[in-house]
Amino acid sequence: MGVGVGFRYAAAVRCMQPLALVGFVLLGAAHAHADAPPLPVSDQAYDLDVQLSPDQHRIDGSERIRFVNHSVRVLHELYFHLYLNAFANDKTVFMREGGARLRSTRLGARGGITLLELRTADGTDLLAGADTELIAGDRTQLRVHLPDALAPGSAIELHVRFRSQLPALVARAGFADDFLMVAQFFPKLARLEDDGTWASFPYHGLGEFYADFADYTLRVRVPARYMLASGGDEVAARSRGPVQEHTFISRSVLDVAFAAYPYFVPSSFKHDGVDVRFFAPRGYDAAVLRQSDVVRGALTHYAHLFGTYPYRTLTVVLPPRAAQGASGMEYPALFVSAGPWWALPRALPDPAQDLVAAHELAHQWFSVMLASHEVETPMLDEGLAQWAALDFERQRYTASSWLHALDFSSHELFDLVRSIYLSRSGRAPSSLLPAYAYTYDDLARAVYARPALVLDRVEQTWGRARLEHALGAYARQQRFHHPTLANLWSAFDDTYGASFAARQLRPALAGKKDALLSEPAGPPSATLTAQLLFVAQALMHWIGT
Amino acid sequence: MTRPASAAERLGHAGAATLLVHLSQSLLASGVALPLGASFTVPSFGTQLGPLLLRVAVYTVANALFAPALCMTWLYALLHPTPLRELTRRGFARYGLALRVSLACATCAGLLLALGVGSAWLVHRALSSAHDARLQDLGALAACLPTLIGCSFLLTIHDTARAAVALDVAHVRAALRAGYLAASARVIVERNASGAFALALFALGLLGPRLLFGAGPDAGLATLLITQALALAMTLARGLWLARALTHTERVLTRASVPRT
Ligand SMILES: [Zn+2]
Repeated sequence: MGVGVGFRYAAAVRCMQPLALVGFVLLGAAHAHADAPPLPVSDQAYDLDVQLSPDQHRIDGSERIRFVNHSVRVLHELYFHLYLNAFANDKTVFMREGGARLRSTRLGARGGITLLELRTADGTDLLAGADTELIAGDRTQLRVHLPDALAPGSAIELHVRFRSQLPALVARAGFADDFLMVAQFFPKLARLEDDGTWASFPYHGLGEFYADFADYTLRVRVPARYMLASGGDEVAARSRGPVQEHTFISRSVLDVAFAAYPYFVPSSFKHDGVDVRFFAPRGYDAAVLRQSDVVRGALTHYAHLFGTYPYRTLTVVLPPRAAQGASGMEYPALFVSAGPWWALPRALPDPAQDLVAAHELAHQWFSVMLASHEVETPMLDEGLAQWAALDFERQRYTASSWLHALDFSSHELFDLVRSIYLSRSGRAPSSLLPAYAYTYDDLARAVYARPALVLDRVEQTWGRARLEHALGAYARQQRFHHPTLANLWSAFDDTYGASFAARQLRPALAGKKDALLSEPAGPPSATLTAQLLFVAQALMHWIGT
Repeated sequence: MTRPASAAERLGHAGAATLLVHLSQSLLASGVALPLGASFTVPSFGTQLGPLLLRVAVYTVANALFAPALCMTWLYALLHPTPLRELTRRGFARYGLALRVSLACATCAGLLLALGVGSAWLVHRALSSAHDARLQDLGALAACLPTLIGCSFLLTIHDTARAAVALDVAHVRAALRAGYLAASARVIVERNASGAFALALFALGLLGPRLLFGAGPDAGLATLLITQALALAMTLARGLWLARALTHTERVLTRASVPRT
């Protein structure tokens, strides 16, 4: 634990009012996973009260934010993220960076957040003097000036009223037919670094997020026919005529989000002390069965490698077909998976069902718990999650008796990724760049594929035990600590010896000569060629006679 | 009048032509497979994917254009023991007629497919209110069933009509009519059983060598031997069916009044 972090928690505890403290302790009791180390105490809290109008795709909400200046500097301003505004028009940073085009879609119905009120507990309006457009054309960031300076360790309470309009689904948040993915829907503070700088940035075309841990209470009123899937514990659900009110509590999380859909078929099971809940559309039984298997296996696998999953619940949403824009995204104790309704039998590999689920679950460690800066160092979440997912599936596929019989050797999954990675002409840029520096294709190669391949090569060269040790130490020590690349390097140096990162890992990830990846061209495989000839013969036979 | 030759006997005296068919198809196949196999080494996989796909397309189209002549040569060989030179001459002489038979069948298949796609689309739309992707997809698939049955009927007619051409029916319409008359339910089942058998051989060729030898470096020769034996078996199965198609069509032609040259 670094000095800054120690200071932050000390400051938080010192500033807490007695009532809030009781609340936090109760929340802690409600939320900690029995076998996991206790969750850290958050110095921020969001109390969200929202009404969802599904037909208008609208959210009317109020929020109470409790914020502690956990930095070492006096603060004169606050930064908020209003990320739904990324979908407000074609001039936003998200749209200019090709956020819709890269996903082969266009901005349909627009979205955004309108701030109706933002004031301090004593009623001072903060909205009047606020800077609403920190980048021309983009209103995803908001800077407000505080009436009084906020000293280190001091707390402030804010009251907000807002109205959010969900866009037609382009990326992550929005609606598709009756399905609503409600994410980035409320004004949220940017992360305050320990040195007092605000890590504020617009919603980028390709980047994800970065935030402080906070405790959330989310109350949602929604027409009773809608089912809600959210991370966190549902502590209350009551009917008020045609409206149902759900209350969710999450502790020490980076964000809250929920999916709403009238046709969810819920199912649940318990694994390693975690209540796992699936929300899938009708007809997805096979996919749920298959992905439940992935979640069971991967929860155990990742816990062994990176430390116990910290939350008591895990919610998995399979979006309906029209809502693919929401899929493949992680939130605390929640992820939106992907896959068709049909699935292959368990004995056969089915990457269309397995890989996204395994990858998104790995994000519960690399991004949800380790909370690195997803825009500045996407490798730390995407790269590590991709390695974890491939590593898990490799073990799972190799253990399958069918694949064993077919001699599906243990490295073939990585070999496949390596083949695809190496097949593209031109070298991929460094894996250590910020997300906005990449094209979509480069991001896939540099941030997802290369880190996974480099780690696989490290394993092949220096052995499994050392890799597990290095990654395990990094993941366990940096839990809830917003690690940077420096933390990853030092974890590897501690395991492999001084300057291992500088000599081996970093150049390989930076793409210098693809040091750990280059491989001499072997002769063509006679077996493969014989089989290809057979396939071509069959093809010619069917067409030619 | 002598007893008509059995399918096996026909295949027996068409050995040279069968081998010609098999080798010419294998030659075309190797033109696709060998460069593809060479490209599958780890560092270069896919780098020449564009030119390779173009190559596959060119070979496939060439094969399809060459097919009517090859098939007619084979049918003549299955009909009478004849020197190969004479067979190929006759095969190419009937190229135009065989091609027109194929085009007529392809046109019908196209109409059937359009009908299938249309009905699948309608069913898919009608079921959208159920909010169940599985129900929608399976419903659409079920709507395609008549098309599938129609296509299996057309595949049979395609073969029996070509058999009619080999039996000296000189006009497309007459050949198609003879083919249609020969394609009884039993014959359709026979044609599809033969197709299913070829598919089974294909699956065996894909999985068998791996199950037997794994993917080790020594498995290449064994895999080649097994798959080539299976490829030959596929050709023989096809030949056997074509021989039976000749018998069925011949029987229809002796009963019905179809003009021949
Ligand atoms: Zn990811």
